[in-house]
Amino acid sequence: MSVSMNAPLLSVRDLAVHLPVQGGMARPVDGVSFDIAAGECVALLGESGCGKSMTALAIMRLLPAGARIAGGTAEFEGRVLPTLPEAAMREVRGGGIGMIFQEPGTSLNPVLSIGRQIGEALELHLGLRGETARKRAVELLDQVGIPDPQRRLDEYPFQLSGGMKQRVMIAMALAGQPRLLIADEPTTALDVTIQAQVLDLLDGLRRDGMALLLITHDLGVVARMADRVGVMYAGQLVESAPRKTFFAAPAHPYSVRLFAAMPETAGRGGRLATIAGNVPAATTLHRGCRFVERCDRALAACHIAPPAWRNIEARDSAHRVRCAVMPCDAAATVKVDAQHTVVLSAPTPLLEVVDLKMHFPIRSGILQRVVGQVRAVDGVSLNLAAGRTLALVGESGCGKTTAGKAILQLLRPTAGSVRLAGDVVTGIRADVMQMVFQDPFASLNPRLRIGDIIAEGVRATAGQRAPQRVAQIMGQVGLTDDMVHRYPHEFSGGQRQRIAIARALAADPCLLICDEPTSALDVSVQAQILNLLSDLQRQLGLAYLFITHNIAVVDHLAHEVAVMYLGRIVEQGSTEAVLRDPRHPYTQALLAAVPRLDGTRPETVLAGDLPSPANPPAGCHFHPRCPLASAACAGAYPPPVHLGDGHTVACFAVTAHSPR
Amino acid sequence: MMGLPQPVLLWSDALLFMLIAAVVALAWWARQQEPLRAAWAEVGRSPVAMASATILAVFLLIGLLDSLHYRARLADSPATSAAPQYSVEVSSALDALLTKLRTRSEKTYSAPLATHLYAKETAENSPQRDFPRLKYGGAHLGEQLARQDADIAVRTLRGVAAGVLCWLLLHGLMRLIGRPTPAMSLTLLLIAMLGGIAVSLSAGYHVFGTDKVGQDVLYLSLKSVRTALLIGTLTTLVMLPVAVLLGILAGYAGGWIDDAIQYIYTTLNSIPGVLLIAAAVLMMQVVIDTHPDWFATAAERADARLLALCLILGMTSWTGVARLLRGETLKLRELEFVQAARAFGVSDWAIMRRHILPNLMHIVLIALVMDFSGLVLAEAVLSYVGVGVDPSTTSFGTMINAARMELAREPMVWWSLVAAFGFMFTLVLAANLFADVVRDAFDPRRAR
Repeated sequence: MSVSMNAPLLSVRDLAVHLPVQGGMARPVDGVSFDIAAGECVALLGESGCGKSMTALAIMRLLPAGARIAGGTAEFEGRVLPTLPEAAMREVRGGGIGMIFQEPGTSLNPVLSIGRQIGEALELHLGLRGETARKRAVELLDQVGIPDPQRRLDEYPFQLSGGMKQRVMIAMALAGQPRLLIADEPTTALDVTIQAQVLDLLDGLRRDGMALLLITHDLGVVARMADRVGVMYAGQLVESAPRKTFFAAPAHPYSVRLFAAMPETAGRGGRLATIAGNVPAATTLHRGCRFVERCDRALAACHIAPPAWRNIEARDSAHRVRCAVMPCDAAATVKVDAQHTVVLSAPTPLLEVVDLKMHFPIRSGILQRVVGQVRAVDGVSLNLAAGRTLALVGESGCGKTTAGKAILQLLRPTAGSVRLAGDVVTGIRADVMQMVFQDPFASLNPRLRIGDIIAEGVRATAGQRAPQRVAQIMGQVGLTDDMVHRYPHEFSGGQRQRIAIARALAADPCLLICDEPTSALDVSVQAQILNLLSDLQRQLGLAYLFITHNIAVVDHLAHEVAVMYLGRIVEQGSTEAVLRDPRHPYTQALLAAVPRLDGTRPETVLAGDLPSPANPPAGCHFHPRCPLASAACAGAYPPPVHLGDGHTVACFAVTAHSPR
Repeated sequence: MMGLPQPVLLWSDALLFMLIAAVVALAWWARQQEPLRAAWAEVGRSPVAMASATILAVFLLIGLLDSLHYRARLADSPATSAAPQYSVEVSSALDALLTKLRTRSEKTYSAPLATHLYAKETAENSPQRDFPRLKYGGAHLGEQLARQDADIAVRTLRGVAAGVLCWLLLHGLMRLIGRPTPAMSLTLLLIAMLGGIAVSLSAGYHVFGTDKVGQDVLYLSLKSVRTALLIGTLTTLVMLPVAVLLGILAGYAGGWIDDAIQYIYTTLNSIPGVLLIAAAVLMMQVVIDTHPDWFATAAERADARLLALCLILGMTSWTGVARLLRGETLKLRELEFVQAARAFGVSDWAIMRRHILPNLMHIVLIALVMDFSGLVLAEAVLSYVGVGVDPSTTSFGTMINAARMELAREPMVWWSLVAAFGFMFTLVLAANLFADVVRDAFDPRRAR
C-alpha cells in the first residue's frame, strides 16, 4: 500500500482460517490482506462475526481448537508466521507482537499479584529476575499511568478497577518490548471517561513508535485512533482507506450503512437506517459479493462474481473498495423516512420518584453486624410524563441500574417514594411498569419456548393464556408467528431483544424501564431496536425510563436527561439543554470523553476512577476529580441550582446567572 | 395335583410397578409434546443410546420377572378343602423359569463348566482323597470325560444357533411394531447369542460355577439384578425430591432458610455415612425381629429390610446433590430472566418451578444416573460389610461378601466375584452411557 515506504512491519496476504463445524466448514477469515508500518495504527472495523478477532488470533497463531490457517501468509519483520516453529513463535508472541483483550477482568489471573504476572512476561522475554525485574515492572506501570506503582505491584487484580486492569494488561503486553500491539476491542468493556484515558495511553505508545492493530466495532474509536481503516465483512476486507478519506466519504455500501445506523448521524427522534438481515453464517459459500443479500444497490452482476478491488483514484489512491457498484454517494444512498415522534404530553407526570434511596448494608464479623452502607442510590428524584423518554445516564457503578430496579420494586427501596399516576407504588405492579434488560442472552430462560416466554407476560395481567394476544404482540415487535415454538438459542441478539421487549409489552404496561437494551448489540441491530422502541412509543404512548451510558443513543431518543454520579443526580433537564449546554463539570467531561466521528480529541480527560459508593468523598462526590473544585466543594453537597425550563445542576460553581 | 398359586405382592414390587407405570405414563405424555418427541427422537438416532437402552431393557425384564411373586400351592394339600395350603416360600416368575438352575445344587464350590468339585474329598469307600464328580455338572457325560470339550463346543454352537433363531423371531416381531435401529438389532443379537449359549450350556453344566453351598452362580447373578435395580431406583426416588426441593429452596430463598438447610446437610455429611447407615439398619433389624407377627413370610421380612435400606441410603445421600443444586440456583437466581419473571409478579414457587428447575434438569439427570450407579455399588459395599440387605436376599453385595474369603484361597475361587462384577459393570455402564445421550438431547443450548 502507498503508505509504507520501506518494508512494512507486518504484512498479511490472503490470510484464510478454516474451522470445521457441524454441517460444514466455517471460513471466519477468507482472504484478508493488509500491511502495518512501524508506528502506524490500522483499525479493523466491523460488526461481531465478521472475523476481526479471528484475524488477530491467526496472526498470533492462537486460534481456537480445530481452527487452522488454511491459506495465505503473515510476515512479521521478515519472518513468515504461519510456518514458524512453535518455539520461535513463542518469541514473537509478547516479544515481537503484544496482544490485549476486551475483558480486562478475565485476562488477569485472579490469584497472582500484579507484580508476579508482569514479572512472568519480563522473565520470559528479557530474562529479568528479582530486583531488576521489579524495577522494570515499576517503570512499566509508571509508563501506563498507574499511580503509586510500587504499592500496586503487590496487589491482586480484584483490588483494581476495570480501567486499571486494562492498563496492567497493556503493561504486561509492553513487557516484552513488542513492535506491534494488537488491541482486540480494548475499551469496549470500559466507561467513556476510562476509555478516553486508555485511548490516550495507546495513542502515546503509538507516537513512541509502536505499531497498533486496533480491532473494534466503534466508529468513534476508529476516528480517534486510526491512521488507516479496514472494514471487514463476512471474513473479508471490503474497504481500505486512510482515516480522513474514509470518514469523509465511505465508499462500500456496508460502510455507508454503518454510518447511517449510528444514532449520532440521524436527527433527534428520526428513524435510523438499518441493515436488513444478519451477517451471513461463516459456513456460507459465497458466489458473488458477500454483502449482496443486504445491499439495496446490488446489480445482477453482484450475485454472480465476487467484486474485485478497485481504487477510487478521484479521491485518494490509497482508498480501495471491493464493490462493483461503487463509488456510491453516502448522503444520497441511504433513504430514511423522516418520521418524527409525535409527543404526547400529559398534564400530570406518570412517574414521580421523590428522594429514592437504596442502601445495602455491609456486614462483617461473626455476628454479622452492619458496619457500613453502600449508598448505591442516594436521594434520586425524577419525573416522567406519559409518552416521554427520560434517559438516566452515568458510568457503570453510579447506581443507575439499581435505581431502575428500585423504581420497579424489584429491590425494596430504603427510603423515598415512587408514585405512578398519583398512586404510591409499594409492590411489583406488573401491569403498569415493565423492564427490558441489558443482556438478551441472560434475560430469556433458555428452557422455555418463545411462546411461553411471552405468555408469561400475558398471564401476569390477563390471568390466563391468550395465544392470540401472544401472536399480536409478536407482530408488533416484528417477530413472525412460526417462532412461537422455538427456543431462545435459535435467535440472534437483536431478535432476542425483540422477544424481551415483546415479553415486557405483553403485560400492557405504560412505563418501560430499559436497562441498556442496546449495549450488547451491533450498531446496525441497535438501530433496529431503537427504531422499534420509538415506533412503539408512538403507537402505544409508552413512557421510557432509558438507563444507558451511550450518549449518542440518549441524544437520539430521549426527551429529558438525568446525569447520575455516585448515587445522585448531578444534572437534569431537557436533552437539548443538558447535551448542548452542559453545566456540571462531570457532564461536560462525560460528553467530552465520547469519541467523535470527526476524530477530534477531548481537551480534558477526566483523571481517576469512580470512587466506591460505600465510602463516597465528603461534600460533592465529584470534587476529587473535578477541575473546578474549590474548598467549599469538600465541605457540603451542593444544593440544586435551577436554571429554568427544568434544567437543574448540583454544583457550587454554577449559579443561576453564571455565563457559560 | 398343583392348584393355582397365591400371588404375593411385596411392597417393593408395588413400588417398582408404580414406578414403571409412572415412566410409561410420562412417555405417553411426552409423545404428545412435539419438542419432547423431537428430543427423544434424537436419543433414538444415537447408536450408543439404543444399544445401552436395549441392555437396560433386558436387565429390567429380568428384574420385572423376579418381581412377580407368588406362593406355590402345596401339592399335598387337598384341593377340595376350604383353605388350601400354600408354601411358606415365596417364589417369583424368574424362579419358576430357572427351576432347574435353582434346584440343581452341588455340594460346594465348583469351577465354571466343571465336572468335578473344586475341593478334594475323601471318598466313602476309598482311602484316596480325590475330586468327586458333580451331581449335575457334566453328569450327562457319564464316564466319557474326554468328550467334555467337544460337548461344550457343540452346546455353544447350538446355543448360538438357537440365539440367532430367537433373534430373527424377535426382530421380525419388533419390525411389525416399529423400526428397530441397527444398533438395537446388533445389541439384541449379541444378547440373544450370549443368552442362547448360557441356556444351552446350563442344561448340562454350571456356566458360572457354584458357590460355597453349591448354588449355581448364574442363578444368583440373575437374582441379584432385581436387588440392584430396586436399590438404584427406589433410593434415587426417595433422595431426589428431598435434594431438589431443599437445594433449590436454599439457593433461591437465601437468608435463614439457606442457613438452616446448610446446617442440616453439613451435620449429616459430618457423620460417617457407613456408621449412620449401619446404626439405622441395625435398629431396623431389631424392630423387624421384635415384631415377627408383622410379616407372614421370610420374603416379606427381607423385603422390609430392603426398603428400609433404600430409605436410609436415600436420607443420607441427598446432601451432595442438594449442595450442587444450591450452588447452581445461586447463580441462576441473579440471571436476568429470573429478575424479569419477578417483575411480572410471578410467585416464588412458580419461578422455582418454571425458571429454575428446568435449568437444573441436566444436573438432576446426571446426578440421577451417577447416583444410580453409585448406589448399586454402595449396596455391594454395605452388604460386604454386613449391614446391607437381608442375608436371605441375593444381591451383588452378598455374592461378593460370600466370595471374599475364597479370594485368599489357593487356588483362588474367582467366579462369584467375576460374575457379580461383570453383571454390575454392564448395568452401570449401560445406565451411564444412556444418561449421557439423554442429557445432550435435552439441552436446548447445545447446537444441533
